[in-house]
Amino acid sequence: MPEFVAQTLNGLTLAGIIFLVSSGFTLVFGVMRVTNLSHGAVYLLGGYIGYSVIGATHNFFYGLAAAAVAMAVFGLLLERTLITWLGRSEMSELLATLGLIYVIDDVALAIWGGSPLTINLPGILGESSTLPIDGIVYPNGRIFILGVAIIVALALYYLLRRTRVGAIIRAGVDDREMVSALGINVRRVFSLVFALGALLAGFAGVLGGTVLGLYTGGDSDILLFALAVVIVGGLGSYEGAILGSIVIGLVDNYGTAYFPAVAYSILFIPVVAILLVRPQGLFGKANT
Amino acid sequence: MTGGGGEASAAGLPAGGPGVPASRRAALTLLVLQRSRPLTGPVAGLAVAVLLILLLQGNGFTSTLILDMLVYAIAAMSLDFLGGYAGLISLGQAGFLGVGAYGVAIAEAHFYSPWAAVGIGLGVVLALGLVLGIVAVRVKGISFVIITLAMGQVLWGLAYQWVGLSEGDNGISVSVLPSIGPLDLNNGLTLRMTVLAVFAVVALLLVTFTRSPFGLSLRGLRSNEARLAALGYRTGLHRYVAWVIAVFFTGVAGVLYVFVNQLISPTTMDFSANGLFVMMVVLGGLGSIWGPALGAVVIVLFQQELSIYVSRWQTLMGLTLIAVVLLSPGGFWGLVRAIGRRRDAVITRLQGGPGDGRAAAGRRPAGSAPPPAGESADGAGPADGAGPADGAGPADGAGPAGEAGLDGSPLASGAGQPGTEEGRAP
Amino acid sequence: MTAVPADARDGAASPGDACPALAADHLCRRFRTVTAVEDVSLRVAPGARFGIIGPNGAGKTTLFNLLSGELRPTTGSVALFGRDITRMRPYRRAALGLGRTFQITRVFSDLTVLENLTLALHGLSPTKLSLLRPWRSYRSMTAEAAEFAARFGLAGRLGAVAAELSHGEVRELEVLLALALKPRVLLLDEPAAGLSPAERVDIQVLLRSLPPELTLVMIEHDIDLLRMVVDSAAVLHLGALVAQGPIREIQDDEQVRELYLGRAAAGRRPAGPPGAAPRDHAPGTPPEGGGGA
Repeated sequence: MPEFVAQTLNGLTLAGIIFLVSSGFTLVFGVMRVTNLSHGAVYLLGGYIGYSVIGATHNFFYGLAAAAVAMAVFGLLLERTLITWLGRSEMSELLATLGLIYVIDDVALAIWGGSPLTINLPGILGESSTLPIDGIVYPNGRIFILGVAIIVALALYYLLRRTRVGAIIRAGVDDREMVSALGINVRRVFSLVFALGALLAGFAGVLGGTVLGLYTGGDSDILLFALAVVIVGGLGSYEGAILGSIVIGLVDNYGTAYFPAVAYSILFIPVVAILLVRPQGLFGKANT
Repeated sequence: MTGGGGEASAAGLPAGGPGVPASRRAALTLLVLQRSRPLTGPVAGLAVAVLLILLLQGNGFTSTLILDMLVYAIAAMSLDFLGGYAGLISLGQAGFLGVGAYGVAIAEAHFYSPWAAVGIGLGVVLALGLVLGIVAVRVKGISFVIITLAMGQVLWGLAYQWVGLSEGDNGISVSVLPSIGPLDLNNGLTLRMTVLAVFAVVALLLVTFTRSPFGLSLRGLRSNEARLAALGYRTGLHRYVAWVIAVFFTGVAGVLYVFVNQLISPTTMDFSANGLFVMMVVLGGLGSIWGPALGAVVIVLFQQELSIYVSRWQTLMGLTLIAVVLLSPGGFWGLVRAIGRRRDAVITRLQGGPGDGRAAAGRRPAGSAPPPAGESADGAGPADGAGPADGAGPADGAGPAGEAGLDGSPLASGAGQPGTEEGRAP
Repeated sequence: MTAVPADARDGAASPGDACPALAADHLCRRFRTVTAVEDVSLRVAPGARFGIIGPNGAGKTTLFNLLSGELRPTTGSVALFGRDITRMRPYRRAALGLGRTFQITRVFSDLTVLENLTLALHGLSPTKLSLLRPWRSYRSMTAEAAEFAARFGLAGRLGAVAAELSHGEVRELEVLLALALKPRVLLLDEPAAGLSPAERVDIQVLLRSLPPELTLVMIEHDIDLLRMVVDSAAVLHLGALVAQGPIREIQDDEQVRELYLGRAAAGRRPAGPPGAAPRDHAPGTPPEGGGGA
């Protein structure tokens, strides 16, 4: 039983990281109809940058901040250049961001090399504590990650549901033309959302760097998770991202723990199930 | 853009009025251009075929390179059939190539004879295609891309982790190739010629399919699926058939792959490989079949040749894709088509220019009757009549909103709401 | 609600009639909070020329979507020559003889006119799944397509890509695509929308030249066009049927005029947005219906 609880916690931790990545992805799609395939690469790049900053400053939180800020800036630049130039063609945006993956990966390879790296958690976060549940000894770092993910989720929820900016974003998801017809500066909203998504991904990269590690191909792995989440949860839906992340995180973790041979493909089960039963995702909008 | 629109000035040849070329020189030029129109395709094809046969005689590096190109070209062309015609761009092709290859390799590892292994490999790919197709055709547009990406990754994951079956990272090697009578693929030359032959057969089959009523229906699908449904087409079925065809031929490429390389490992199926196939199609020109074959040539050259001189060749490749998407969405073949249109414009001009109403209205050169069924209107190479960008849209170099290659479909601006066909009538 | 007695008058079938070509029974379509179509019942006799009019947002296109299968009704049923087609998808209804055009033209814009028509002609034939013969080699089909185009004025345009056609030609092509299926019932959604007066005459000629056995149901704002083509009509307002009967009566009906002209008389102001007056109908008015989509 303790084993199962530990695995569940692991799954939730993974879900937390996945959530940070997929929420940005789904919001960007919802508001801008942009499928940013380079989102996973942004995650990885953020992780690498955090790694270097931590290495230089010996401060984990500086690393977190640096990754977040750097990727936010990167996202902003990307949106203002490539995405803007591509206009509103979704397939072009998808393909261009696909090309971007190769560029980012190669640059990262050049700078940080091909060997896997791990980010170490400082001080107390690097230790483990005994949990009140079944007396399990569990790494503090993971609890930290889970906590951070929950806080961010709540903060985002507050942003989306309780602030004016959030209302605009949600309206944009529903009807982009309408929002612009209301005189709201849609361009700024786009930039904001895109930068926010990149920020979250970069931030997640550092967190992921602690428990998952930073390695070539890490971007594809996390991208796959994010995509599975949006299929299950529904493209464009924030609530879908939350629920989807939990499902995917848990399924993947249980799979790896209990069925290692086919762990990768266990992920497919919720995906296929949703496609058969409700193709637009749990919270997705059906095409009327 | 109309037939008479290209103002290619043929060195100031005066037009002599409707239907009458101005001078003997003009008349001769006109004759040459007109006669050569239907011939360019077959002649070019023949020339390439002869070149390839010659190059494949030897056993060296060039041969290996060409074999890689041919195998990948098959997969790229299949992807184009699905993506360029039906509008379903799959980011999972490498996965199916891998399945074909692994099918053969695993079968041989379990002591099946090489021919049986081929049968098993193709059988597995076909079965997988039939089953996964049911899921895959439930979504369109961006969602489809995502699903196929997931499929590709999952297949890769299986190859990587199901060590008992696939030997994981080490891959499986194949040493015995099939032979039947005089056709012994263990002989290098025979193998190379066979690969070339299979490539030619698949290419011609795919081109034939695109020109068939089914192919036309795929283009209609991509153009306006709702309309097609209202015209009585079972669009889901059409997508399914296109999917199965594409997957099967990709599996064929996989079988050839494992024979040529005598090894299959998970790397062949990873995310990067999937991206490469899409790149081949986009670079070569979505919706032309031959274009992606050219795209395969370019990408293989990038990989094998460029990598020697430029260590950051992957960056270059990525930038090239971005550049193509931004500047010339019709890809390579878009340029070829543009040349063809130029030629048509010159022909029209020489025949009397825009004074002839018919030339201005349609794209047919003035003075010719609407082409008899069988001849096509657009003169660029063997792809005439095949591609959706058949002269549609502005000429080469048009911006992203131009060529029908990427934008002339429900996938474009704003209309690409992910969702399903089935979900249309909740 | 002006209930016109449902006896056989100029095409509006009565319950006692033999099999109506198209029948809708208490059709209702709700989208979460919006009721786009409410309890609409219609009977159209074979060979009838029937119009559907109403202000923007009245639910006309939604009604068409229910009739042709793009949408499923929340409640109610649709029958084609007595056969219940409520659960059938568009392609099946097409096979049974129901054709339709779309208000926002849906032709295959990156294909040529010939290709457009060929697609339509193959629609109900098993050859559409044929893989090996080039479609151009189906001579009878291409000839038929060419002849079709010629008959309706698009002769010289066979090679033109649909995107190059003028607006009037596109709308003609739209109608031709539907006609190519040789439908028994044809639903036309604002065929004259956005056309210049000259083009309207062309469309009118086209519509009047349609075979008399063909049952026609047409949404239009242009009252003049309706008068020339249609025998009777139904008026839709906010999703409900408010009037039905011969076209002359509809035109003269007070309530209908209010709906369109928004008479300012107190107490007689209609509940919903009055919509554009038919004669002032501006080209390119954004579509209604579809539940806000």
